[in-house]
Amino acid sequence: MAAESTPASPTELRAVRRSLTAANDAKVLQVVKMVDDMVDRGAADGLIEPLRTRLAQLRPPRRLRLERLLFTPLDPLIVPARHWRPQDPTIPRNALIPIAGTVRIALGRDIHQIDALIAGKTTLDTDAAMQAGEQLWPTAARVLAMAPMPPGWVEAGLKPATYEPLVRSVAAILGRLPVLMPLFEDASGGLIAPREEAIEAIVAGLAVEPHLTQAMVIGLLMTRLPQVGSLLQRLESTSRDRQERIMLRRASDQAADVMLDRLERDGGAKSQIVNASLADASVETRRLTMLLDELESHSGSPERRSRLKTLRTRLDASCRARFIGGLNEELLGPLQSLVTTIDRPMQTQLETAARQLRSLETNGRRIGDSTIYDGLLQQALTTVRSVDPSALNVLRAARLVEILAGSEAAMALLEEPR
Amino acid sequence: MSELRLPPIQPYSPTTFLERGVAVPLTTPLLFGSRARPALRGNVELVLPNPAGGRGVYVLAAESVREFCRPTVHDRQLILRIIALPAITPVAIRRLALEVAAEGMAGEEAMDAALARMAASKNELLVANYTLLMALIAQADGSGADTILEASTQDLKHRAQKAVARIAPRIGKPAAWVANSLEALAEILHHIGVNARVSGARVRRLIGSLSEVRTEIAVWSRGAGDDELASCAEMVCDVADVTMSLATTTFDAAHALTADPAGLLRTWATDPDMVTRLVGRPEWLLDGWDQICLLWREATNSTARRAALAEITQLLPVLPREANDWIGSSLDSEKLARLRRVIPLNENWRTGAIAFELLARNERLRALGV
Repeated sequence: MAAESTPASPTELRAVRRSLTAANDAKVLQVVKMVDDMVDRGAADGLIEPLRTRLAQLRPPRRLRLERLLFTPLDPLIVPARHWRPQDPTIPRNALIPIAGTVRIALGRDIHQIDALIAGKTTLDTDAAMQAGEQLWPTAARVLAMAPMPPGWVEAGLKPATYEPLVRSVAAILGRLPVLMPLFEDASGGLIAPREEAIEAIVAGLAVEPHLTQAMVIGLLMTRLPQVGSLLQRLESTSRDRQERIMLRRASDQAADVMLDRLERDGGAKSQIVNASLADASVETRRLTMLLDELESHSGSPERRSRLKTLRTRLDASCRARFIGGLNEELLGPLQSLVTTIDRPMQTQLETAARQLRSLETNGRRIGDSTIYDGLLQQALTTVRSVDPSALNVLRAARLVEILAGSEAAMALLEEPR
Repeated sequence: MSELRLPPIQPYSPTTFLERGVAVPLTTPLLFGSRARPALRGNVELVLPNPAGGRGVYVLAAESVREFCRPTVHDRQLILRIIALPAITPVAIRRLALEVAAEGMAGEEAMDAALARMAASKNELLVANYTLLMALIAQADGSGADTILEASTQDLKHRAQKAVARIAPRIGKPAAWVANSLEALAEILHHIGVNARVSGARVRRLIGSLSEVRTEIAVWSRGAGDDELASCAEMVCDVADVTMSLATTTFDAAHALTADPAGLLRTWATDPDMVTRLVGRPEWLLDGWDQICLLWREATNSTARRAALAEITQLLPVLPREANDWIGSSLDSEKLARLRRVIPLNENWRTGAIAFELLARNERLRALGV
């Protein structure tokens, strides 16, 4: 006879949570995948809670589910329940399950169509997510624009009075996602600039929305597309409509405060850079630098300027720390501990690391003191050149030198008499 | 006060394919999509897509490229060799690009691919030479393909000697000339294939690849739900259609030469340039499209495809006026220029930190392209 499984007691769950907090990355990813694959996550969901900061750094592909499809685009607005205050242009995490439940019930049989589109897909399948989202978001927006407070709202620790403004704002954002998401996706590759006319249309449409919604949309825009800050400023200064000018100013201010809070909280910017992969650290540095530049450019209050200055200093330090760590672990370390000739996979790995370091350094120079990078790159060059040619042939060394110091230095190495 | 005398700004409407230039697979992001063409006094110019992403092109002396940007070691080597070329043609540039990639200048993957390609090219050359000779035997002794397939090596050798000895006096050339000419013809014909051996030939493969990519772009843009994007994709498909149609026509004409090896040898004896020009036409027409096909194939989701389409509209080969004459109509170049702005590219996208990623991408394209 098969043993009957019994739900874990709170003490057992606490013990599992404690052991997970200390677990290595591979173990964490394994548990997350296991929980993601469960049909009914129930209490297992709580296991992931203390891992959220690490998950934000590890960025594993997550199984697409209705809840994830609904809220991943709003992620920059989601805050832990303890940090949320009514009237903040953010969404408390404990509101997600009741909101998703409302949408799920309202969808009825239509949910099967969406489930079919995302079956077996993960957050990496952006096309599937977009296709399913285009069906889900407008429907969810219509449902949430009118739905009464669902059961479970108060039980989740939320006051009834908070329901109406919060959920109507979520509805208003979801309704705009079919336009916003392609803009966010395009910008993520770094090649395509946000289309100004699309942003202008979104801003124009905000006039009829409550203040909370306006600040949420502006906050989402600025977090995902920091470069639109200048456009918003231009719209504010050129708008003939006084109401629109006031709206933009107020919403931008509120959104800026929320973004600063988020960057300052729980390690904020630092943890996003220091613990990220080199590639992610570079992308994140670029985004945060742009965000801080934009916030600084229209930040009147001395208090906010001071906060920005502190954040910039922290970001600079984090970027340098990540660069030094990456340089030692992914480039200099392997080169200094060579025992055999470098093979092709290792050369590819070293070239990738060198490129990612240069990318991080290029972004890092924009945020603070750039001279330190010159010294570190020089140190890297010296190490590359000091490796025994029998382990690293001149062509491979030249490739690394080219990435680290440019083609002139590589040519000089290739032309050196041997 | 000294007066700076700059050449007047001119529209980029090349009259001939040579004036359009030959696509050079450079890896430096700022030079990606460049074309090389001969300039005055034996110099070489590079024609670059507008780095700002807008209309127009930049033209600069190839030897001054370092004043414009910092080219990669790969690009420096390739440009130096192009400057020394006696004649700029797609085949010549491809050969040089292969050599430089094989030296490892564009990374290990491109080096391995280039070495493999060089070995494969040698085989293709041998096969083309052999096929031409067999065709000549069949034509000379009136035998069918079956008798050749079933013949022994010794028998074939004997029949080949007889065929050459029979054909040579009719052309008015010695037998050795015929043997050497078959080798020289194989060199220029192996890109298009000889007789039935066309499907694996480079030009045929490229036409097939372009046809697939064109269909994929059309299907994808129809489902993208964006009118401007669809308009942009339509323009790319229009140019691809004209190119494919012309390339197929010129390919068939060139390929038809191989059906009559004796006639081909006769023409080769009197006007070898004409044969080279005719056989080279499909290459000139398709020049630059291999890079476009690779860019599209690298893009595996909608976001990447939008970015790829933005780059493709920048690189779309302008059809010279001589091609317009061939088809009896003209493409709307103004429309193309307008569409280049449909997907706005980020400022500094080729020079900021993303340039390192683009460089790696361009080297990957080199590996796939060779």
